[in-house]
Amino acid sequence: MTRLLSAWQSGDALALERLTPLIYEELRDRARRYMKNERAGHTLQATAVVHEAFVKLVEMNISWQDRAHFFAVAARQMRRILVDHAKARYRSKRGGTNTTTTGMIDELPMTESMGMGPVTSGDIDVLEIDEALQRLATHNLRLSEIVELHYFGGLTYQELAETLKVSEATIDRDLRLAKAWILRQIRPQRPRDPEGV
Amino acid sequence: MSSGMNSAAEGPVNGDTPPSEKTGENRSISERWDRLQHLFETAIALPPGEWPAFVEREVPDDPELRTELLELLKYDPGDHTSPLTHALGAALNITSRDRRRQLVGKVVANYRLKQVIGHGGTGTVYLGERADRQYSAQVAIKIVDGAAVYDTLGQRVRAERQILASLNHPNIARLLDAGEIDDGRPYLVMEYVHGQPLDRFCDDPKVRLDLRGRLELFIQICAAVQYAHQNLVVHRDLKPANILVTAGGDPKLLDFGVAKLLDAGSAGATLALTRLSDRLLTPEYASPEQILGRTVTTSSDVYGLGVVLYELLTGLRPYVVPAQATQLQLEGLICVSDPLRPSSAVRRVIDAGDSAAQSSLVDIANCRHLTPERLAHRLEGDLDAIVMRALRKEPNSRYGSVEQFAEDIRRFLNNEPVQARQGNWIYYSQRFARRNSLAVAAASVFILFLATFGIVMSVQRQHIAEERDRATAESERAERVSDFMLRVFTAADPFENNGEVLTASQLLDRAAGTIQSELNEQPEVRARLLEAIGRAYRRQSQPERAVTFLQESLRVRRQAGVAETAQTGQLFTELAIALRNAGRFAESDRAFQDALRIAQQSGSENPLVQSRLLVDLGRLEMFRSNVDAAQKHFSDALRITRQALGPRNQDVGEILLEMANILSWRDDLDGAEAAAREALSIYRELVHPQHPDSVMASIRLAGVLLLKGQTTEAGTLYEGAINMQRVLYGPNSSQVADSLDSLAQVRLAQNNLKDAEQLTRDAIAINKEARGDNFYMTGYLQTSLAQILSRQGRYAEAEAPLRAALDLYGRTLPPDHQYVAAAEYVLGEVLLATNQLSDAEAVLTASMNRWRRTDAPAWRAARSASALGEALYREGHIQDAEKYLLMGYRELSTENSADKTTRQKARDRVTRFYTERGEPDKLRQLLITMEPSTTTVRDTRNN
Repeated sequence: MTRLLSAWQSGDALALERLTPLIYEELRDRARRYMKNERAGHTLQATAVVHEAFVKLVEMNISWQDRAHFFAVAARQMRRILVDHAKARYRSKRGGTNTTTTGMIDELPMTESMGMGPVTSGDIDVLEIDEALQRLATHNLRLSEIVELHYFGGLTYQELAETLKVSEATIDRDLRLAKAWILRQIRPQRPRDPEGV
Repeated sequence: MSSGMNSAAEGPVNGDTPPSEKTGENRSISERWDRLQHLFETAIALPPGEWPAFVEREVPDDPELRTELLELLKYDPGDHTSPLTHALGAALNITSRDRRRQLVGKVVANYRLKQVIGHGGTGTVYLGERADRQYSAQVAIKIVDGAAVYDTLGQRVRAERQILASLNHPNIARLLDAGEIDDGRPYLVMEYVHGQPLDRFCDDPKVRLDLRGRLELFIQICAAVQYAHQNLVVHRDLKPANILVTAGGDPKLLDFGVAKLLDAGSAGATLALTRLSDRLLTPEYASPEQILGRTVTTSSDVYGLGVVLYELLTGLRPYVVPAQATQLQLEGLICVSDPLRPSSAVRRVIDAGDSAAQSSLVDIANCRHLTPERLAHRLEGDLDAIVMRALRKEPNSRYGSVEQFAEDIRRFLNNEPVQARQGNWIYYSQRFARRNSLAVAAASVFILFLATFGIVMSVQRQHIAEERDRATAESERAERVSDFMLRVFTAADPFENNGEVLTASQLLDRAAGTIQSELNEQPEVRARLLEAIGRAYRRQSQPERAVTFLQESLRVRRQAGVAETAQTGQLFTELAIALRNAGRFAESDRAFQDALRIAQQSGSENPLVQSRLLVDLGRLEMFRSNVDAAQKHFSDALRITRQALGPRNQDVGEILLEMANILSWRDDLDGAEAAAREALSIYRELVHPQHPDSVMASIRLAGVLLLKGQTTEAGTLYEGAINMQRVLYGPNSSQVADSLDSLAQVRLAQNNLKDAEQLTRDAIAINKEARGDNFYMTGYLQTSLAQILSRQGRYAEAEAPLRAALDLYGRTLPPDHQYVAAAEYVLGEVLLATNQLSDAEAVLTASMNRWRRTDAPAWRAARSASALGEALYREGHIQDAEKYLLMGYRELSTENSADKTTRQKARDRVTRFYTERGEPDKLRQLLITMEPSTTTVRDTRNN
C-alpha cells in the first residue's frame, strides 16, 4: 500500500486505480471496529461516512510519505466529518428546523444500544470528545495524536505500536491514561442533550 | 481543500493555548504530565482501595495533582470497552444515517424520495412516490453507495437491470427503472412491497405460523427462486430481510442485487465482481463457496435457503458470526465447522444454563405453538435432515436444485419418506474414521451386517478388548465406534422391524441420527468412522464414493488439528488406493507420496499401527506394479507384527495372505502356497470358520493351488468357501458369484465342461442380481461361457452371450478396452464356426484393430488377424486372406507368450490355405523361415 501511495503520488494513475479499493476497504474495516458490539449485519452502516472520507482523501493533493502518514490524514478526515456533522446537527436542532425527521421511520435505535461499560456512554457526543482532545493536545501532543489515530483512524494497539515505532505496552499505558483523561474532561461539565444524541 | 488538508496533515491542531508562545510553561506542563503518567501507571496496578493512601503518600505537596490523579483513576475504563468507542460508533452511525437522509425530498426518475426504508452493504433504499402524483404508485428506490469507488459496482447494477427486467413472477419484486443520479451513483427503481421480513412475519402475534405454515410459505419462496434459476438468475443473497411477506401472506423476493447471469460468456467478466460483491454480503447467510470466492451457482441459493429455513424453524442461526470476523475466521466458521442440527441447536439452548436464552427460546417456541422440548422433538429426524442437506459445505452434496429442496419438504408435509435422509448418514459419516484392526472390523461390518450379526459382534468385542489393552483413550474411541455399530445392529434386528429385512442404506439412515447428535463433538471418532466407511465403499467397488469419504475424513482430521501419525498415513494409503481404483492416477500418486512420507516419519510409533501402514503401502505398491517394493513392505510388516503379537495372530494371517498374493505373482507358487496355508491354519485356529477372513484365506489358497494344477484341493476349498459366503453375504452376493467363477476355472482345468458351464451361468445370474445390469465383469463371464460352449462345439448357443457381453461393454467400458477386443475375437470364431462369414469378417477386423490400439501383447491382434484371414479365405478374398493369415502366423510363431493352442491354430490355418491353394513351395519356404527346425517342416509336408 505504501508503494502504491508513492506511485500514485508520482503520477501513476494506475496506482490510484489499484489503491482505490484498498483504501476504501481499509477505511470501512476501521469504521467497522466501532460497531463491534453491534449484531453482525449492521456493521456496514458507516458506508456513507466512509465513502465521503474516501472521496476527500482521493481529492486531496498531498504528498504521501507512508502508510502511517496516510492513516494520520484519514483519521483527521474522519474526525472532521464527524465533528462537522455533529455541529450542523446541533445548529439545526437549536434553530428548530428539523427537515429530515418528520414522518421518518427510524432505521435503527442507535444510541440506545451503545450504553455499555463502567461509565455510561449513552450521551457522550463527538463534539465533547473533540474538545477534550484539543485540550489534551496542549498537555501532551503525542497522546492526543495516539487517541486520534485510535478512535478516528481506527488503528488497533498493534497497528499503533507499528506505526509509532514503540511497544504495544507503551501504547496500552498511554491510551489508558488518555482515555481516563478525556473522560474526566467530559463528565463533569457535560451538557445534556435533551434528545439524547 | 488542499491547503486545509496540508495543515491537517501536519498534526492535530492545538486548542486554545498555542504552546509555542509559552515554552517555559510548556516545560513545566510536560514535567507535570510525566509525573502524572508515572503515578497513574503505578496506581492502576494497585487495588482501587489502596488508591487514596497511595496518592496521599506519593503526592504530599500538590493537592491539585492529587485530585486530578484520583479522578483519573476513577475514570479508568480498565479492561472494559471505553465509552468513547461507543460514542464514536454512535457518531458514525448517526452521521451515516443523516447522510443517507440528505436525499430525502429529492426527486429521482420522477419519484420523490419519501424516506429511508433500509440500507446495507450496497447502498440505501428509499421509499419513492410519483412526483407528478399522476397516480399514487409507491416504489422502492435503491441508490448504490461507493459506485465511484468500485467501477465494477456500476457494472453490476447495469447487469442487475437487465437481469431483473427479465424476471416476471408474482413472488419476485419487479424492476421498474434504473439509471444514475447526478453524482453518478446508480439507482434502481423497484416495485415497493408492503410487507414484513419473512422472520418477523412468521412470528407476528397476529400470524404466529406453526411449523407447517412456515414450511408451506417456504415452499412458495422456493418456487420463486426456482423460477429465477430457470431464467439463469441466481439470487446469491437470500435472507429473511430480502424476503418480504405481504399482509395477505404472499412472499416477495427483493433485491437481486448481486445476481449474475449464469452465462458462460460473461463468466470471466463477472469473476472479479464475484469476490467483491461477496464481501458485501451478510456473512451469516453466505455459502462456503461465496466466502471462499469460488464459483457461485444455483446451489449457493439452495444453501442460502437452507439458512433461511434453519432460522425459520428454530429462531436461531446455524452460525453466529462475530461482527469483526476476519476472512480466516469466516472460512473456519462457515467453510469448515459443521452447524448444529436444528434440533440439537434447540436442545443446546434448553440444556444450557443461560436463563435469558432459555426464555427467548420459550418465546420462539411459542410463536410456533410449541414448547422448546416439543420444538426440538418435531425438528428431529426429517427436518434436521432436510435442513442439513441444504447446508452442506460442498455444493454438489446439497439438493441438486431448489425444486428438489421444496419437493423434499412437500414429502415431509405429506408424511412420505424424505430424500434427505437417504445418504445423509453417509455424508456425515464421511466425517469419521478409525484405526488399525478396528477399522477392518468396522469396514467389514458395513459390508456384512445384514447376514452376520453374531459373528461380527464377537469380532467387535475382541477388537475392543485389544484396543483397551493398548491405550485407554484409544479404547474409548473404539468403544464409541463400536457402540455406534451396535446401534446399527439393533436397528437391524428383524423383530424390531416387523420381520422386514432392511437394506444396508436403510440401516445406515437409521443410524444417522445417533451419529450426528452423539459424535458431533468427537471429530476424531467421526474421522475414523468416515475412513471406515470409505474403506467399505472401496471394498464394495465404489471407489468414487470411497474417495469422498476418505477425503472428508482427512478434512475432519485436519480441522480438528489431529497430528499426522501413522494413522494419517493409513488414511492416505487408503485414499491412494481408492483414487487409483477410480482411475485418478495423478491424485493417487500424490496421496501415496504423503503416505510414504508419513511412514518414514512415524517409525518410532506403535508397531501395530506402523505395520498396518506398511501393509497398506504394500497393497498400493502392488497396484502400482512395484512388486519388489510391495514385497518388502509386506515382509517388514510381517516381521513387526509377529514380534508384537506372536506368530499365531489374525493380523499375521492377513499379511500372510498378501504375501501369498505377491509370491504367486512372482511365480513362486510353492512360497505362495506355504504362506496361504499358514494363514488359513491361523484363522482356523483363532476364528469361526465363517469369519470372512478365514473364507478369504481359503480362496487365496485355492487360487494358488489352481495355478499349480492341484485342482482337486482347489475345488474343495472353493466349494467350502462358496457355502460360507452364501451364509455370510447371501446366496446372490457378488462374492458368491466371484467364487463360482473361480470354481468354474477349476472345472475347466479338470476338463469338466458341463460343470464349468453351469457354474459360469450361475455366476452370471448372480452378478446380474448383485451388481445390476451394468456390471462389466458380467461380460467377461459371458465371454468365458461362450468359450466353454465353443469347446463343447455348441457354437450356435455361444453367440447370444457374446452379443450380450458386447452390448454390456458398449455401455460400461471405453471402446478400446481389451475385454471388448477379446469378446469380438471369440464372437468372430463362433461366427466362423457357424459359417456367418461376412459377420465374422466384420467383428474380426474390429477386434484386430482394437487389439492394436491397446497395449496388449502383439499376439492378441495376430490371433484376430489369423482368424480374419480364415474368414476372408472362405469368402474367396484370396489375396487379403493370404496377407492376414501370414501376418497372424508370423507374429504368433515368434511370440512365446501366446498359448500353444492359439499358435497351432494359426499354423494350421496358413498350412491349409497353401495346401488347398496348391502352393506347397510357398508353405515350405514360410515354415523354413519361421521354424528352422527341419523336423517341423517334414512333419508339415507329411501332413
